[in-house]
Amino acid sequence: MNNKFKINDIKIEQLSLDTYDLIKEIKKNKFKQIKIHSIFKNALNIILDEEKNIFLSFINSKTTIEPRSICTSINDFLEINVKENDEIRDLKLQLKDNIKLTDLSLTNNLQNYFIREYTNTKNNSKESIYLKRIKNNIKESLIFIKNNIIEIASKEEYSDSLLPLISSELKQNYYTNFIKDRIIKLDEQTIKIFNLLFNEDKELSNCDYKIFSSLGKNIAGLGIGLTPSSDDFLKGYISALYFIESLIILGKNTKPTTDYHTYKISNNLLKKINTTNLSTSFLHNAKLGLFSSDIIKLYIHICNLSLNNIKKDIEKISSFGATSGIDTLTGIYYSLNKNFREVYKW
Amino acid sequence: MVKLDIKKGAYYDSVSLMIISKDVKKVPGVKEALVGMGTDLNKEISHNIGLNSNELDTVTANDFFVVASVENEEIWQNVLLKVEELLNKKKEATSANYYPPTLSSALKIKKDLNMAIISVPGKYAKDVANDCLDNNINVMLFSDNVSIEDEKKLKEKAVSKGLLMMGPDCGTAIINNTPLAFANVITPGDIGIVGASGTGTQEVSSLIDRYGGGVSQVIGTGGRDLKEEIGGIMFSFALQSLIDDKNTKVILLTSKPPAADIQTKILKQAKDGGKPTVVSFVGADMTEIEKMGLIPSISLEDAAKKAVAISKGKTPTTFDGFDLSDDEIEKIVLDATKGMKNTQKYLRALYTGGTICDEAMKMLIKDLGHIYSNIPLNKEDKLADKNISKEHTALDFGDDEFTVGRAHPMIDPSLRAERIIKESLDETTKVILCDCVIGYGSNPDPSEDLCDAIIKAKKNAKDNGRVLPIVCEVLGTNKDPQSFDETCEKIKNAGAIIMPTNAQAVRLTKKIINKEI
Repeated sequence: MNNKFKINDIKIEQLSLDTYDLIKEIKKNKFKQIKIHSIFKNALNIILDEEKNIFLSFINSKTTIEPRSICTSINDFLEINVKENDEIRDLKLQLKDNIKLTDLSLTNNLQNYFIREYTNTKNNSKESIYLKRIKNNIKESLIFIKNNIIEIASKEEYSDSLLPLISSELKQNYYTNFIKDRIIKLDEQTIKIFNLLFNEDKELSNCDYKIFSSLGKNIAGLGIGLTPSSDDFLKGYISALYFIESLIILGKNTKPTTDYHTYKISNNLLKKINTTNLSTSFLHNAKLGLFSSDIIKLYIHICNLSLNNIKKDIEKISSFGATSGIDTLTGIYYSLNKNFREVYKW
Repeated sequence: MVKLDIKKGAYYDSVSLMIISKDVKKVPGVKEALVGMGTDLNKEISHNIGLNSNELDTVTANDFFVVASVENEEIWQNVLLKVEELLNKKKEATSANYYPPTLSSALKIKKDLNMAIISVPGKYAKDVANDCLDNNINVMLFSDNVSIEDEKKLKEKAVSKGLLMMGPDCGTAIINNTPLAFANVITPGDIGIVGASGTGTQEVSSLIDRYGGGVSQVIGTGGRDLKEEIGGIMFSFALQSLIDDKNTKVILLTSKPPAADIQTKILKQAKDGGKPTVVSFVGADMTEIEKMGLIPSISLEDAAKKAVAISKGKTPTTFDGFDLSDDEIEKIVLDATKGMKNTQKYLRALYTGGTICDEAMKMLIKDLGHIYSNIPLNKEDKLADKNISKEHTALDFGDDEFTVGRAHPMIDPSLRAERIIKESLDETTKVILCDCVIGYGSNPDPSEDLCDAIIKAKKNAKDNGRVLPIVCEVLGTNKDPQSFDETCEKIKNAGAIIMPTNAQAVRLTKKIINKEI
């Protein structure tokens, strides 16, 4: 067993809320065989349970706070003297300056955030003025978002990304030619569910979500990258579904329940996928409605039509990985543009 | 043959994978290639594009593979070497093939970045510039449509941090012998230039090179810096930098005439700096400049000549003539006007560079009275419709009116070329005056459209029984990417009269206009 590095040296500066419970389990020594999975300059991933595919990421302030991640003060993880597959014993995590865990947490739960934030602004009418304004802001921001993504990414270096899915002016590549029809099929099914939800149609209770399993199997795992392009696309796509569902729930004065339809869609979508462990872990977070802090901020800024901030968010997200950020943004825009328009008949 | 390499359980960062994907395809002899993790869909697409290998079926989602169709085994070995080379590089992207899309990702790659050229739509430019300054990066802001208030704040911030904030609307600079944006390749030397005007700066720097001098630094400030609202913040900062720079022996300042107070402040600063300073505030009153003990100039050409003279230890003298003899000039004028119709009366000056258009108007206004323009010297001479000339007309095709939704005419000269042809159909056009700017940033061959236009224009006139002279200056040096001499030759062969500087082109044009038919 190789245990050169004492992860006890890592101090927690910030962490995502969903990591809180995970840390409690770590403290109780629930995970018996913890290993280093992968090391990058601004992130170090450990695998807590290989069988259940439970990852935990250590990051620094240069990277967005993803679900199941802990932000540390380490500037360069490559300088730590460890390598992939090293085992870690006695994982102990220190809090910076004795701050309690609860003080450090950020929410990564997109739907919870919106429901909580905007429920307070609702009045008794079916659609509050705030909700109307949000919908107008979404409409107005869509073109802006598309242009910004294309502006950043219309370079030869992104020619293998899925960006051409949202712009007919860009040259299609192997991946987009391969996948576009499959995504259209996904759209057909998601729009069907969301329309039933929006219209409070009784048929909603009869919907069969299992169809999404074959759809997901035909989409996930495509493209270059440790998190293949289509996985990043799906992450963005699902985030938009959670966002739209939040709007529908807010508009209907319905209390949030655990019966989220996006959860059902994405749970089935990801059941039979074949992709890398790391990507599976990220998609698992997406399935639960957990996204990076920058993605959540993007949606907040869309609601507020804060264009400068939207631009900054797009830049920040796009800088992640090589095409990961761009593919995620492509998924966000694609899903928002398609599904929002269909549901709200715009 | 299709070959496959598998790295079991291997993890590489996405940037590396992307670089590998691009670079493997570029290896000579590779017909097709695919890299990725061994997911079902990546394997499926590999089959779809003809990269079939039975072994591919054994690859799992957590394995990395490279599959390629190659001509022979040797090519495949080259592919493997390339992949190893890329994988063994540090686990962060280097600048060779990866162009980071944002400032933050650029800084991840190269922490010591110290200069940024920004060209984004104006409403975003301020934020981008601020981010750069916050990261201690000097800025050259090519964008315009930044408010004057924002410009002031940016410049104040830059100066407080000891950084350059060149612009907005700054198109030309040469910093540490590196041409930035629209700039020419100039011999290194001891003349430092501060310019609030793009083509003005290009003209003086190119002429300095031609006259045997060289530049230490060429710092642009953007066109509004010397207005009251900005107060010359960056001009002053740049001037001080040159005063303090041990490699700068002579300073040249070029701009349209600044606001009066600002001019005094700048001139005093230059005087106190103690270095010989040539001032090219074209159209300004020379008296104040002379009183400060500085050296005024009557044109950009004159400024360049004086700066080089001082640099070489000679006494600067004012030049307002021609390189050619009087007889040669007279002959050119005679040949140009022989066969003209008496309907031909007017100048049509059609420029891609704004400052040299402005210089032309200032040199001609006394003789011509009114020169209608999109950048007129007098408000009442503003053209009602930029697309229709009126009497004597001078146009800056680089001005905003002409560049909405289009590239700058130095990049895309087609609009100016069309106008040359249009003016040739006007029976009242006596002479066309134009420029051709080469150098970095300019069209790879700006003479092409211009030559076609000149040929057509002269034919149009001829078909109508007229003679139409076209006078042109080529702005640039022989070290520029486009050959200066070849460019001059092509334009001359097309039928234009090539003059060595804008000032001389204007003087010749004046003679042609004044020549009685």
